[in-house]
Amino acid sequence: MSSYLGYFLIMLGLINASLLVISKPVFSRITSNYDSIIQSTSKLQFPLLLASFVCLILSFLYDDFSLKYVSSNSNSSLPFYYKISATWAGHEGSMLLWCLILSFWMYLASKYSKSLDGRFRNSFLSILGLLNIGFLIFLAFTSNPFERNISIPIDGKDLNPLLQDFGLIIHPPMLYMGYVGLSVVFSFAVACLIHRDFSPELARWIRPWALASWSFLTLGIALGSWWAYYELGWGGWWFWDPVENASFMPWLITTALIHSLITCEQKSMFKNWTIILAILAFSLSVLGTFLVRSGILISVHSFANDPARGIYILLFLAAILGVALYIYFKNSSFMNDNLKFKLLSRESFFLINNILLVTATFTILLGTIYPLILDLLGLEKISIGTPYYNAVFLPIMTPAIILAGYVPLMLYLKNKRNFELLKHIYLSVGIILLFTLPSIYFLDEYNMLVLLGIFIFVWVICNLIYYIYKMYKESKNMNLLKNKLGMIFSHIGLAVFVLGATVVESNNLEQELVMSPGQVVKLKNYQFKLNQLSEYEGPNYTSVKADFVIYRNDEIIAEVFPEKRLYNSSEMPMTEAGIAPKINGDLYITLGNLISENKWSVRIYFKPMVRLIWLGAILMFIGGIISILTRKQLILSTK
Amino acid sequence: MISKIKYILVGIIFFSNTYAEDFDNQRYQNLIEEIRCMVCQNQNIAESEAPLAVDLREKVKEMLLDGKSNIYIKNYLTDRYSDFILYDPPKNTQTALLWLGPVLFLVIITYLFYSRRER
Amino acid sequence: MNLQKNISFIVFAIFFIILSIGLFTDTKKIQSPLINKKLPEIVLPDLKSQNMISHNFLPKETFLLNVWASWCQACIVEHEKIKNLSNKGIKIVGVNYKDQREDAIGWLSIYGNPYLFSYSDKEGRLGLELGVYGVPETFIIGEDGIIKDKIVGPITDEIINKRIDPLFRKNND
Repeated sequence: MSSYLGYFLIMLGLINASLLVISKPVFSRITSNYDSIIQSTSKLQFPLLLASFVCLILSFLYDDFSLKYVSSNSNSSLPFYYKISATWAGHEGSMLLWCLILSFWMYLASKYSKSLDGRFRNSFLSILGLLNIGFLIFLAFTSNPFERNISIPIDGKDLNPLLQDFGLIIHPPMLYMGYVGLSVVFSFAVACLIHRDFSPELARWIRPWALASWSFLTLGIALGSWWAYYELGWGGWWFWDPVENASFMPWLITTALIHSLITCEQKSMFKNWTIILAILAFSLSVLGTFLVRSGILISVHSFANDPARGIYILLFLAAILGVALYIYFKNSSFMNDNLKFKLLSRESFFLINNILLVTATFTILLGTIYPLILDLLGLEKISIGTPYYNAVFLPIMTPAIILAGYVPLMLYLKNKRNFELLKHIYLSVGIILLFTLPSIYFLDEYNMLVLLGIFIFVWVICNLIYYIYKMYKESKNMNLLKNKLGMIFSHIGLAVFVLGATVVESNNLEQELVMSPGQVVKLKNYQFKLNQLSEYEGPNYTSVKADFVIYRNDEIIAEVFPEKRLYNSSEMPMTEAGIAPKINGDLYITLGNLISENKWSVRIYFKPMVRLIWLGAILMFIGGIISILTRKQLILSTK
Repeated sequence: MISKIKYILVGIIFFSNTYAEDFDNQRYQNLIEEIRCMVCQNQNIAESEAPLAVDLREKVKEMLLDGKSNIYIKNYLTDRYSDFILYDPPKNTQTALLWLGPVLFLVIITYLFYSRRER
Repeated sequence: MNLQKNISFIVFAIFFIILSIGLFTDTKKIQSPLINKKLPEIVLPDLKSQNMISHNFLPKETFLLNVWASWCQACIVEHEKIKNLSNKGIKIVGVNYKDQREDAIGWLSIYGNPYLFSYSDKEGRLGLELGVYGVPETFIIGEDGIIKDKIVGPITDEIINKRIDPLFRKNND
């Protein structure tokens, strides 16, 4: 049966990774060819885990309810594409996905590291191998997706209706590509410490890997936010939920990392700090896993918790962080950072960027853990949510984003003659205010938040456009620009995101009321008419579907069908929102509760510019990928 | 001249009516987003359809129509459900570190870095 | 460097100690801010007779105020314990929370009625006043009308031993 094979393959993976790790200490005494053992085992891990993963998928597709994981997360009437995605819906399967992606990154690291010094490369891959072992032990012995049921149920419990959705299919894999990719950065950093080498060439080598993780994290987080928006039924896109915070913290640190790596590469500066960041990024990634899977925090994301799992992950995290820090303090003296930089230099601005991003990360960590601390001290239980983060996080990030728009241009101009910083700033601010303020006419509500958002957007875009113009004029061709294209895309993406977020948070309109068929409701200059309510049966649910027609100035502009579904397997009613995207924003309708015969409570929203949030994230993702593809090519030695 | 215009514009912004058509509704929406649902504790009462959330929304609406201030409404809730029901953590000695932590961290880390700078 | 190392170690240790303890500690229930405050005046009708009940009808001694409903599964589990407490001589007043009258009365006839009487809190107004969020909930009201304790969730033997008996024993001394 594929399930026995699946578990067997995990064991093979463990053995293979162990071979990798002992190659250097053990096999090096026997043969001088232990290099090739390291290469082969680090590449072999991927097909092994992939095969195991396929076994699990097959178990789902063939309704193998003898497996506990399958029977808990699937059902014979589940559509086949959800049976496939159910593979990573629960804790055990998603851990297998994690291990698979880890093996994939190790494969890539092995394949593309030929230009690295041989001994360094061996250490690098061995550390990755150790990480593989750590997670595989966790998978095999506490979270086995191939565990059998004692008695085989007739049918499965079905996949959580919330997860029966396209967004949930790609959100975890993308997120894990980001999370797990940081293991490469971590292993590299530790290898640098062990070999007492962190040259500019090494900094340049690792940067695309950090960029790749960053890009996938951006995409993964954006997908999660997008999913929450259309699936959870009230149009929110970020909740400061502990698990969201757990994914955001590594993102912030990785953002700091990709910037500080530049200073390492170009000025050999801040090397100590960069190594620490690399270690921190992955540690936060593992911490995130811990917070989600240990049951220590209540969250909408929490997997079924089991203290044993929590203990293991915590110990594992303590081990990797502790060992990495120990090696750091022992060896880091080889990095003589020359900390000679001017206050208005590139290095200084990158440092400010790093300081702000790390402070922001600390803020989120504090907010996430503080209720736990108070609780453990026997003090009053409190809640920490959006109001706190708005008050603390936003003021820290705002200067960082403002700098993101201005610094590329400023540094470029600084080398030119007659550059007077203050005059330049006044002029810039003046011109941009001129662009910003007219936008007041287009808004219903203009408070400090949205004005700041628009200002930042115009500020970043204007500065970048001027920067592009200047560069093009100077070089008369696009080559100079090519190297900066990724940065430009990402920074524009950031600006677009800020615009979307601030406009929708300050200008969204909501109405909650009871409606019956035939009724019309007005919001802004839109009219919403509930045409009719109908019922139907889906593959594994029954549904009440509402037909809403939306008018603007008496012309039909959209028709949406919000639903309330009751899945056969669960008592939780699910909301399917009816969304009509328009140029200026989303019209968003959900059904609430049945009040009486043919009378439903209904919520109608207008969410202006909300899609810019995810458009911005996609632009950032594209920028990251472009940066990877357009980096100055390393000379790869053939081996 | 430019700075004069800036002053005038800033003045307009501050004194203009910053609420959309329905005064109560916007305030109501902002309020209910800050109140935690005690039943399904991962949602605020704006999103939750739990019976308690529905009741609490009704109560908040009532108090708003009654002309009660935001502070009054929040105190009403914390008097009965404790600070846990508000997503805005209280500002007292127990949460001092929470509110001051970020600023302290920023100051300390900036000092650590810039004090090592060689001129 | 040494200072850095020591501080890192301390931060590291504190961080992991917090997380470890957090793993093993059961998150406590939320403490009610109503404890040691006076029970608010209740203006609700009686479940059976539907007449308004005057505040004088409340017991003058320490008693239990138990919030229950026919739709609440845990209430069935708890009900045996409630009846036992009533048999021991403890006065118990019920609050029928967000329920239909017929369902509630039917529930009592099936599972037994240990209550002196039950308020009918159809809209949940009293529940809001008392900070109710998880039925069943039980308040221990002292003879001075002060709320001595609030128990969220079904009453268990442990709760009876640790929280209920002590408050009633004190009474009888």
